[in-house]
Amino acid sequence: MGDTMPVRDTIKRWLVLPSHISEREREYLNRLNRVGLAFFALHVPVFVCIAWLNGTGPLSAFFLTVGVLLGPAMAYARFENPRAVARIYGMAAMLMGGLLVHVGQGPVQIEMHFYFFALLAMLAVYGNPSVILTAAATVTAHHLVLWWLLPSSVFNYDAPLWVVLVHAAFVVLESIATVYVARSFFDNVIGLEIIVRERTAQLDQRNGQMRRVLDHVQEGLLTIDADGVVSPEVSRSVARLFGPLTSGTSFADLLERADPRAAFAFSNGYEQAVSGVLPIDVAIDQLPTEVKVDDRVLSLDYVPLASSDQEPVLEGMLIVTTDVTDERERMRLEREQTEVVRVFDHIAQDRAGFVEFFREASQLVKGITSDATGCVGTLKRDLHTLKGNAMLFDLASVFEWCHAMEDRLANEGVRPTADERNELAAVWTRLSDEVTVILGDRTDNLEVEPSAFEALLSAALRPAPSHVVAGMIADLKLEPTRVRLQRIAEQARGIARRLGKGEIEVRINDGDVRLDPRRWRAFWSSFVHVIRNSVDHGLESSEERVEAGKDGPGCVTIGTHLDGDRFIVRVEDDGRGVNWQRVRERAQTLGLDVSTQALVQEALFSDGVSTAGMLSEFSGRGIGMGALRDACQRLDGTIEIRSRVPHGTTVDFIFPSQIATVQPHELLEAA
Amino acid sequence: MAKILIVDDSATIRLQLRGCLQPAGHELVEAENGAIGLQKARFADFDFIIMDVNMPVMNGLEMLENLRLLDGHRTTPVFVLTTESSKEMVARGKRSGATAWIVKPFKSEVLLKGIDFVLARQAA
Repeated sequence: MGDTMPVRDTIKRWLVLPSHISEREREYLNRLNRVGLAFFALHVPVFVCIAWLNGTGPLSAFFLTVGVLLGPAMAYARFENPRAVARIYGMAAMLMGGLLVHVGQGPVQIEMHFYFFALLAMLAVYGNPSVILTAAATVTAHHLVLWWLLPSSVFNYDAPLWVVLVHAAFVVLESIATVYVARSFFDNVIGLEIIVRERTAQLDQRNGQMRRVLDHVQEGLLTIDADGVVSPEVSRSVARLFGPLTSGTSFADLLERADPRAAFAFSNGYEQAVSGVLPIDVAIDQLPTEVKVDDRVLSLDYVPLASSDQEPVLEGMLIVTTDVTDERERMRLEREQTEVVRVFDHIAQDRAGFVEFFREASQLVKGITSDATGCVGTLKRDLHTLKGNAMLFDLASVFEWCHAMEDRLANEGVRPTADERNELAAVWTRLSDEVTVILGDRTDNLEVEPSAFEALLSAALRPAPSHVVAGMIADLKLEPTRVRLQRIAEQARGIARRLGKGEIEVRINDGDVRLDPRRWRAFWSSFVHVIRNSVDHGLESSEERVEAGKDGPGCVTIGTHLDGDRFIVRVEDDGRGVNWQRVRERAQTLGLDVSTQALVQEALFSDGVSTAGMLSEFSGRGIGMGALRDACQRLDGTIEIRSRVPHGTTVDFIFPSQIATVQPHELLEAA
Repeated sequence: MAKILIVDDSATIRLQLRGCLQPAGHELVEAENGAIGLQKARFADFDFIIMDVNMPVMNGLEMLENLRLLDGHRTTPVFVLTTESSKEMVARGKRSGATAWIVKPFKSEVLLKGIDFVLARQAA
């Protein structure tokens, strides 16, 4: 039973047309019925002629044919439903066949039966199985009734029943085939409109579902064609993010409203992707990934829509736009918070060191933010020094700002704009406020070690000569280089860790030297460059050290000592040494004189010369050493470099000893 | 591997390009401006040229226009390094026969892939 139902349903579905008659079908059937009626009318003279020629009574042929004709004529005139008219036509066609067999009595009467099959086939043109079935039933009834009542009207011999059944079998066979043809004709041609309507309804439903998605998704979803023109089907968020969209707008036009640079980058990159001058992914990689529209930050993701050939051609692109303003703001706040925590940590670990850094950095920030037209070289050095120190004290926002500005200045020669300078000023004001909250107003307090206090007290009680006591008091204001060197050592270890060089050994040899921190502030601030150079370029990776037969981790020794009338700050490393040939080549490409070794050494401190093979966030631009040389020269110092490849490098900063010592009255004057 | 001429007045960019191209096995020749670049191109064959636009003495587009007049460099692939704002420059570069534009700052792997792609197509 379970199987018979679907079979029956299938047969029913094949035999019975959908009840709705489309306009297109109605028009077609009406036209067909009109032609059909004329066709039936033609039978009247034709049958009269045949009857006359055959001697089977033209007058009775006339009346019989007209009688059959009345049926379709009345149906055509009265019936609204063209399918019903067609069914009457099916019946009439078979009766006309019967009339032909009747008036064609004689030797070819059997051949006249062909007309039934011809008419049955013709009826397939209605595309309606019920017309075929009506015709088949009519011809069956006609044969049976006449065979019984008036056999001569059907056969020209005394045909037994089985002959009638043979005729019926042919009718059934042809009817099945004709029903199939008719239904296929209906489904694929006459009923096309119905099919289109059903498909359209399905598409509308799907479009409706898709529209719901597009109306509610937060991302701006749009597709563009090969010309960059935005297709009309976009998510509602596109209008919210970019403003109203008009027909024919390109994506570059949308970007142009907010950010002409991004618009140019997009159209340039997209054109290259479509034209195939670059691989699709390479061209897409150059498209802008973020754009600022009014006060919103939008991220842009691109999904190429390419042909699936071996060498794909870009046919369009899906662009997903996400409003990341809140996320960026959250990240900014998080970073600010992290910065404050790091500032607090640094102050807790080395309060004096941080205060020193902050004072020096404040001067640099002031210089960078207030000077819009000054010397580019000074700007580059200030940016580089501020960047290096900001990194050491974990001020990521300042470091990143400097890095971006330094990059652009080096690559495009473009200085920070007024907006960008204001941005740095705002960041620094925020940090200053935080630092003030943490430090209070104790930044200028003098910290006295217990041993120094006791020595001073005992000198006063002895009493020691006043100039000795004054000297001891002046010494309190001086900073032991040990503290400074310890701070630098810690920074060197931090740099090594960030560069992935692992733990390095840093030795300190302070020589009991004390210096006036104010006088040496700029020097120490730039000193970080030589430390970075040593760690980044001097020390090898652990693998390289093993290959070079060096035991243990890389070692940097930092020291200060007085040597007769000279005061020397020394940095030594046991790394690979300076590649002088490389320095010479680099200097030559910059047009520098390298005719002597002294000039080659001098070139090492020129902007643009670096021994580095690659740029890193730490070093490689050849700017830092120039800044350090300037700071050294301002203290009447000179620099000596001794290097033995591959055993290491020693850099001496040599100053007259009097610059390292301070007379008490100088401090008083300075105060 | 290819012999590549780098023409850029920025030592940093040349350094960056060297760091990217040398490890890939390319042979590099550097020039600091268009005039020097053109001079080097006049006396040597290069498989590929990468040039900046804004340079002293002779800018990249002038060099490109003159380069295309040299017999050996009518079809040498040229990548022009450009910034996001030099719209007119790009239009002029197209007319002068630049192969493609790479927007600064660029990623090394992206540049390498672009060069390999163009060289492979040139060879095909």
